[in-house]
Amino acid sequence: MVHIIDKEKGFVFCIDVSVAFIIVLVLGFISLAAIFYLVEIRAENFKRFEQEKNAALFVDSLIKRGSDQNGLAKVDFQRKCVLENEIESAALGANIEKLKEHLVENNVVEIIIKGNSEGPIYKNDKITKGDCKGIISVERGISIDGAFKIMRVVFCNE
Amino acid sequence: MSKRAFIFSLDATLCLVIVAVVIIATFISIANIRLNQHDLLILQKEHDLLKHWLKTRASENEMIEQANALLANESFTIEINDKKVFSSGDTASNKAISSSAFIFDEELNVKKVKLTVFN
Repeated sequence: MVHIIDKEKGFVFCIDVSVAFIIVLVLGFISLAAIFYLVEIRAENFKRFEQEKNAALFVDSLIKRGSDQNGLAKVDFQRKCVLENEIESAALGANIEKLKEHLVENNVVEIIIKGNSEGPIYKNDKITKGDCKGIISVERGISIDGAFKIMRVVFCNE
Repeated sequence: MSKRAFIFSLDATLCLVIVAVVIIATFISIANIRLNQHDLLILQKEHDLLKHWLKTRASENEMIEQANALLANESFTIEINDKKVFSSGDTASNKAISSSAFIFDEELNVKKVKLTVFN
């Protein structure tokens, strides 16, 4: 429709009040639904980020041995220091056994040393990968008896 | 024009459409921001490798082999004394995480090893 408004020529779109009300209502519902959906996605992303952060820090503490001694790293008692990333194969099984409670608390499904023919060095009896909604896998480089190995820790998102 | 109704001029309609598009685009971009720990994990892996190389005084071949194993899906370079000795994948990216260490051999000769992972 072309109208002349104050001598200015232009297009004008007319819309009935009731039609406008319905459109506004529908648009309002769509916007609300979109906002709720986006907020949910954002919350999921944030939750995932927190889980990844916790997983990364937990694996870090495993191979560094924190102040609470819950790590796999060797300790040099003469120099009174922790030998970060250095792990003794002889003590590995016993250390894993000591840490079992922490591993279960943190939803660790398994710990694998890549190239180790004996299979996982830790396997959670209560949860399997199939029970998890999502899986976070963290790989780190370690020295086992001086040889470079890759340790993979698999976490379960319930 | 005696009927009650809303009247939009063309420029007002265009303005409304632009505002709606900007709002929707902002929401979508906010929702799609994926925070992750990739950079932290890369930095940790770099430090793992450098610590091991420091301890074992690794040779060039060992460095390449171990870096390839740990950084299997990443593009990276290894530099020794500022000379590139190995490069893997696309290293043209401007975004990179780099770590370096000084390794002393038995005769106390220093070797600067730099590991750079590109995103």
